[in-house]
Amino acid sequence: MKYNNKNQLFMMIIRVVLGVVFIYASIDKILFPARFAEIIYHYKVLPIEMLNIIAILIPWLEAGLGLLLIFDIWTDMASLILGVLSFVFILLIVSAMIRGLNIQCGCFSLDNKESVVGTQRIIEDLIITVGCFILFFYYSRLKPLLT
Amino acid sequence: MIALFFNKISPEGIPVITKFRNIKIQDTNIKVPLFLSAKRIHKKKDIDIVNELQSIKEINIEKVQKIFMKGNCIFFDARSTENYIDGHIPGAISIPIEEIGFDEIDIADIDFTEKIITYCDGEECHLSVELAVYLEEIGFMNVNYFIGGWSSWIGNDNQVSKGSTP
Repeated sequence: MKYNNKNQLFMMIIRVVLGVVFIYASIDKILFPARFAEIIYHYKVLPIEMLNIIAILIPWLEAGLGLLLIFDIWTDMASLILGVLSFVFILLIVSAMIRGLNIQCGCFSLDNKESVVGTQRIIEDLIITVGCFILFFYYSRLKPLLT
Repeated sequence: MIALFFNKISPEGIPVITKFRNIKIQDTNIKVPLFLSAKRIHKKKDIDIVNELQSIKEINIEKVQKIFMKGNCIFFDARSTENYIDGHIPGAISIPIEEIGFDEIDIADIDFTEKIITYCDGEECHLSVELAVYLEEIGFMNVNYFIGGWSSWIGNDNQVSKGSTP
């Protein structure tokens, strides 16, 4: 595959858009970790003792990796981690839906007007996950992870 | 490190390890997390309320019916909005805690000394206990949860209200 300017421009757009999305998604969670911990709790998948530490760390991870994407630093690693995180999040939403939980998603903001878990959230996360993996495959070819 | 440092200095910071309460429901112990941030506790009173929690009380259908007849209590329905609209205990206030955050619960008009009874679907449901723990955390002094919940209420042919208002 030949990497031309058109491809590079396309990848740059995906990088910046996803970077901004992840940073945007992290702001509320960083500012109000108690609220985010509460949302994680309602998914009922983590031990209670771990809720707070996860609610503290995940938003900063999102923000940090989002910044790396925007500035094209370790993009392969950042996109891989974000892709895996987003995929795990899809699984959590699906599992909540299967269990009939009518809970807040906690995807982008912590606003209670944000819709609860559902198909629309899955589609949004799927688009983000695919975007992350497109970036990973593109950038890991240019700069293999182990070099 | 940045995350932990920011959490430490933030007024909305939370303990790294989640605080929780053990509540015994019949023979089972359940853990109910405490989500209040330092600031929210501080705003309420100038003390750490979490350490001063009284024990919330479990009450059954017979007792709930008696209290309902006297009318000296406020019911909080912790189930989803949809379930509340389908039917609820007359006068109950809807607090669908899975749909809204504790921060968004609007109970500013209610006095902390009021007798509160929380309920959800039934014995298997713990939303009423979670809500009861939260209410006690923020300062309510007489909080009870109705163990049989909605299924027990309708199973005993009690009055039911429908719609989105109490």
